[in-house]
Amino acid sequence: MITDPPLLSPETLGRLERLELVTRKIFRGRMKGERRSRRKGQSVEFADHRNYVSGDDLRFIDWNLYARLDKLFLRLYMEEEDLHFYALVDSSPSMKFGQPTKLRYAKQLAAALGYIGLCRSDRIKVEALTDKPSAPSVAMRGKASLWRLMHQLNTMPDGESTSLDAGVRNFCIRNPGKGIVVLISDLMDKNGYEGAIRSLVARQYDVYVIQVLSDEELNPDLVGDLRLVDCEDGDTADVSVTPRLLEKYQATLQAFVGQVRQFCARRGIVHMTCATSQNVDQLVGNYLRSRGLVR
Amino acid sequence: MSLTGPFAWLGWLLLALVPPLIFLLYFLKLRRSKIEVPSTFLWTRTIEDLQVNSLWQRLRSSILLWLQLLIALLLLMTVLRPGCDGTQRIGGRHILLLDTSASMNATDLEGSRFQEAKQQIETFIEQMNADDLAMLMTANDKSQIRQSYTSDRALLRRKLLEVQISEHLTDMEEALAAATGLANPSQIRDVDNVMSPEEIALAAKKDQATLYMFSDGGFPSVKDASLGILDVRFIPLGKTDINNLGIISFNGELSKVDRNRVELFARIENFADRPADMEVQLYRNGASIDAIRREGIAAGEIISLDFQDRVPTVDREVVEYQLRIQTKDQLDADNFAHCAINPGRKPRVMLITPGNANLLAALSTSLIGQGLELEVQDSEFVKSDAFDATTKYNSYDLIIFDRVQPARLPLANTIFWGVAPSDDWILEELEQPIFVLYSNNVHPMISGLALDSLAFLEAKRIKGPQSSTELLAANDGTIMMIAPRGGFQDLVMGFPLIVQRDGGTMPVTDWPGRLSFPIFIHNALEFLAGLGQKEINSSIRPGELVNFRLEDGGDEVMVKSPSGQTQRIKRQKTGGFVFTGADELGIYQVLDQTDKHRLSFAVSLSDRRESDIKVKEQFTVGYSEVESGKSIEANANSNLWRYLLLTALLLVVVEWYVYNRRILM
Repeated sequence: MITDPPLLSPETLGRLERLELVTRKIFRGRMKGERRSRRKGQSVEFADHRNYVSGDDLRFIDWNLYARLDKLFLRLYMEEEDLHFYALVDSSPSMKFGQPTKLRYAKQLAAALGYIGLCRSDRIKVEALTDKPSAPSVAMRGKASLWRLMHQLNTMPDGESTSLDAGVRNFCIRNPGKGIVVLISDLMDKNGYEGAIRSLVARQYDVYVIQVLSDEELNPDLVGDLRLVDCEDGDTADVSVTPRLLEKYQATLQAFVGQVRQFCARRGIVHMTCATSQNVDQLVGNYLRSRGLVR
Repeated sequence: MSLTGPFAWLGWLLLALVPPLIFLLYFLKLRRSKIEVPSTFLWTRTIEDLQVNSLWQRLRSSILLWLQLLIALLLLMTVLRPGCDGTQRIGGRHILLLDTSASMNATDLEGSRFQEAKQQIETFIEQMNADDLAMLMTANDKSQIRQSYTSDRALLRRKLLEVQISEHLTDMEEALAAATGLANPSQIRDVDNVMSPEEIALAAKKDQATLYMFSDGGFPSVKDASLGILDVRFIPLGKTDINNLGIISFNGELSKVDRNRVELFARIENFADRPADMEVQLYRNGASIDAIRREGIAAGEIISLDFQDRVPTVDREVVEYQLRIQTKDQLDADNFAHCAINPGRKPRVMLITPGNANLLAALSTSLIGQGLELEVQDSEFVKSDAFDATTKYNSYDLIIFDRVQPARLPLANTIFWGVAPSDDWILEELEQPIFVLYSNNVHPMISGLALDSLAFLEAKRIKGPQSSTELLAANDGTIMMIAPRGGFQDLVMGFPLIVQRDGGTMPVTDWPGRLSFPIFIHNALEFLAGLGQKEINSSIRPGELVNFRLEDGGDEVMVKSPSGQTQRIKRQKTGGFVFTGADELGIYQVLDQTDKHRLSFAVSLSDRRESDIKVKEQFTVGYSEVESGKSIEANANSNLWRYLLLTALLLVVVEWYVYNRRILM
């Protein structure tokens, strides 16, 4: 039996350990973590003083200040909490095209980003877009959860025909928390991608959209008079491939990508396109770093 | 402009359905291959404006459809066979003349010229319109109508298939005369004066025919013919760059010195434009006896060859020779020639005279005497039964009556001295002086003889029957005349050589003392008795009549052809035999009723014109030149459809290019 190679090689894993996920927002975490929280709490980093009110923990009274000013002040320290990271993988049939498939590429990306989060004790959730009601997936923390992450990605259902909008809404309902959401999809949804992105923005996630395109979408290798059949809805398009048509296709593709980018930029969302032929290791190490998702 | 075609209305209807069918098929055709793509999202957007299109949008961009429609239209037009042969459609009349002479056997074209010609005629028949009439003629040295005017193409094809090539020479005069007679329009008479000039012209045009000559042009110009309004199209078959060595003559005869030696002469010409090598071999009765090899015979050069063969039995048996060029070339028929040497025969001559030393002396010279069997009888002989036999059987070649008149004329050529042969002739005394005014110099008996100074003491004016030829005329009438009688000839002299006077003989003329007299006797014996002649002409061309004599052997002989076929022929009234089936090349043997091989004759091509197989591009008929038409034009109608077909073909190429450009670029 031929099995697929592991999503991430040990070398890649080694390199990813040195990176961390960056959010442009400060969220409140749920548990103690390695990220500074809005909340004041217990850490070694001094944050501020405040007046003592009755009931405060006497252990945090700054006695030196009381000796000098004869007033009770409480020492406040920075709180460190964990970060919520969600990787939303579009597993619709259209993601099964390309070499490697867009879905595998998306899983690799999700695995890489998830592993970075695991290394930094962030709460990691990886989900496939689905419109079926189901229990929220289990959050993972710590490097030890790597195998769970991989298992979850490997067993992720593929070929599920879900509209982007419905899938994202379903996710938002099931995951009320805040954090980074990375949506990995080809965005080729005839109902539009806008609703999905709007839903994420409304929940105040720090949203990153990674648009994965296969080579056959970027540079279609088609000749002759063809009937193109949509793998998702069976819709057909009769085309006679001519140089003019191919030029026009390229223009349409560029327009579509530009439109998505503009839409995202207006809403403070980082949009990235990547081709399946691009190395995941390189993409995470260089491209996502330059776009500020990791550092 | 006229449109013609081979279909009935149903055919036309079906043809008219072709373009709409293409149109429909173009939209119904399922030639798009299905390909599954991640999403048609972008493609749909790309072709969105094209999909608004619907029918006319698609048509506008579909160059292939337009090309296909155009091709179909052109092909339809081709089937209609458009032409510009007049404003009104009339059925064409075509005479197809196929040359079947020996030179058409040349293999410079694929198969042979004859095969190519048949192929072209078949194509022509195929292209005939339904109301066209065609006639099939063949011509070599004789012309033959194989099929008279018909529109039945199957019949024409069948008749064409039956035509075989011959070994004959070419003479187009007869064929052209026949074609002209058949083709020129009958007189159009408008007795009641009801036809308009256009109608008369149309009626005349209906009868007008076109003669298509499929030939290599290897025939002499036809001088005594007028084409009238016959339209001749000459389709030359063959190449100018040829390779042929041909035997143009081959003869043999017994040596004058040694009667046991045969001397053979041959001439061979190189008809090619470049030098050629040659190897010839001589066979006697099938066995090789000599061979000669010559290299580098220049273009147009004639090589003369002579052979000598000693045959002790030549005076008893027939000897057959064959000369063969072993080198292969494009015409085989002239690479061999035959010749037969038959045992000699002496003509039988009878002289009936009361006594004539001069005449006897002239008949006994060594040159004449050795060559004939002479029998001398006195004047009483004409009353005998033996003479009666000569009037019933042709046993003498010539009988000379010297001042003796028979009651009935014999079955032989005759010479009469001083008397009339029969009541058809009238001899009247001439008055003195008698001198020669005219001698017929073109007649072989007296041509070249000096007869103008002859002196005559007496002579008679001759009035012969119709068709007599005057040979010698004196100041007051003809004194020597020859006339045919059945198959024989009677030569009548208006004067005897001597006369009996006063108990003695007296010369009438001084001619016997002159040199011209024995020469005249020799000529007369050659002409009338066949002195020195063979029984049979040695060089016979294919298709010629063969005349031969056989002294005995009965009234019927059998002629065996080179291929072994036999034919029985009967003796003619004149005593000789005539054979008409000499169509094959080679040796023919004559066998008598006891199957004894009596004589042979050889039929050889030996003709420079047939051997010169270089194709001629033009020939002359009367005063008009006929040039080659280069190719067959089935009729005027065929002019345009060829171009239409060519254009359609080009369009197919363009379509192919366009299609490939769409696919590959």
